[in-house]
Amino acid sequence: MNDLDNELRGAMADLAAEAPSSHDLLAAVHRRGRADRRRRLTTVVAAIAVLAVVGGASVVALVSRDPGDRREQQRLQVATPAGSSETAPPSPVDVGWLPDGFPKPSVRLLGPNAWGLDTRREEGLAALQVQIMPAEPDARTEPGTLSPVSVGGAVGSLYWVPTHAPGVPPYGNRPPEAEGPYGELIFQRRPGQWIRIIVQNSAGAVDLGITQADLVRIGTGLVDRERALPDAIRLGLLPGHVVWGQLKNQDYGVWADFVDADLPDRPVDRNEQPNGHNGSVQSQVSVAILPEDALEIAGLGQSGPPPTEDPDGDGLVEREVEPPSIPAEGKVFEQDGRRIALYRLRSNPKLVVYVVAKPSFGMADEDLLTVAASVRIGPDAAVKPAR
Amino acid sequence: MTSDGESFDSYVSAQGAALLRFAYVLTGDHHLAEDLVQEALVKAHRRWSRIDQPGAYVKKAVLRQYLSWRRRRSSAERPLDVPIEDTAGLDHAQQVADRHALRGLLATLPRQQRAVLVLRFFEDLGDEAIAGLVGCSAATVRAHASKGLSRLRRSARTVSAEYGGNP
Repeated sequence: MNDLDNELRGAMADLAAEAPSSHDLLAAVHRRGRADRRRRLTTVVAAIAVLAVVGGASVVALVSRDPGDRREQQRLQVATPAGSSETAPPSPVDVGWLPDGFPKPSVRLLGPNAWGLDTRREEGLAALQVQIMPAEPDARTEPGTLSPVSVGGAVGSLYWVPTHAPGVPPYGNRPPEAEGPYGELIFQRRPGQWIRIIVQNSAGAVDLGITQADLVRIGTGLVDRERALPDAIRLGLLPGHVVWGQLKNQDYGVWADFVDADLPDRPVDRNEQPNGHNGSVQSQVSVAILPEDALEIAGLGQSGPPPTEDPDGDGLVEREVEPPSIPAEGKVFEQDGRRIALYRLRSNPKLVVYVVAKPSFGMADEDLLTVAASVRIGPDAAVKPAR
Repeated sequence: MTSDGESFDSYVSAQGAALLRFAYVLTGDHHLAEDLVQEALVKAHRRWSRIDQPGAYVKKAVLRQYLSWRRRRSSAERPLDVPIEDTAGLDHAQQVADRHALRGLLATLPRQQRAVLVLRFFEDLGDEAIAGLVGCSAATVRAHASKGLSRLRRSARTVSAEYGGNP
């Protein structure tokens, strides 16, 4: 390796340290996808209008499944009243002390019997999450430093990555350590209750303004006080033998995931971070309220013929997709072997209820639709309808 | 879900920052980097369930859009103007060799040469892997790298001589 090679690596690492923040990336992608979808819809409508004028409008019927092609009969009945996300199990723990500048945390459901208390501050940029879970989580060990620490008499572990520029050695390219300072405190608060407190920012060489002692103080300050989940989605019916697994309340959709009631206690996924839902919960059934032009719904439309050219010149050709038609009684679609029920929300037809179950779960189409029809939106829902 | 069960949101949350770094090193432009990454992710989202390796897919999409964007803009660009102005404020030749000046020189490279160098020196990819992403042969990758490095050396020597330093 010569000097120029080394200088290039260094120059590129310097550039990388100045890259834009990824904080709003996920929401921006969803917003852009919806805007893109609206643009495409406009194009398709215009094309159909032109075809109609020349006397040849073509209607593409969505393919429905042959009634004889029944999957294995569902083993579960749609019967159990599920209530709303607000009446889902509340977090049993709340924060008692936070460093200056952090507002009252919001509550998320991260898994069965697992919650996240989320807060962030812009001055002294830091995102903070207190995770409560029923089993011991995996501790990170590198490239930061892991050391034992006393938390109110309990022995905990404290993992720490100091402030550094993104991507510089030894923090590499793997998040979350690559992106900036990161701290993680793990301890057992009581039998069957483990706590992981994460503080981080993705701004690189911007100090958190939070010390290791602050993390310990947050841990010792936790109190037994219930915090309810936001009232974002209300379900009248659900299959039996599932329990709440995860709730995601975002402007691009409210997602409620349900897991097998027999799923053994397990810790929150190590990838679960304050910046978003990163963990998987092995959901059996997912119920969502989405804008009608959400990509998940658009993807159920009927694809047109393969394009013959690449108009963007980017080597990635796209088929135009006709939006799915959703009748008043709802409709079930198939995508990659999964059955997905869509049902327009009665209170706002620009929002669509989306219900999908694992194929192995064995829910019949009628049950998917029954669940979808039972869904109502809650007052705390963050989802924004299509414009 | 992809075939390995990773959700789109999880992928973006975990890899978004790395993608933005890659796009920014590639473009040197905040807005363009965000634009390329968002557009690539929207495309990936549409076909998420059919993507086996989202990392490679999205990176390829970012790269192809960068090359495509540059093609559309190339007729209006005068890339050599920028680095000379950037380095003109430097006092002596030694600074030409420093990283800041090199960043300016890097911006003068033709798009494919810059892309190949970024993939080699920032992403640490081999020629075959780069060829797969860029859409050319490994021999072409080596040619782009060689020309890019030669051009950087020449530019550095030119600027260095102009400001009285040692190459």
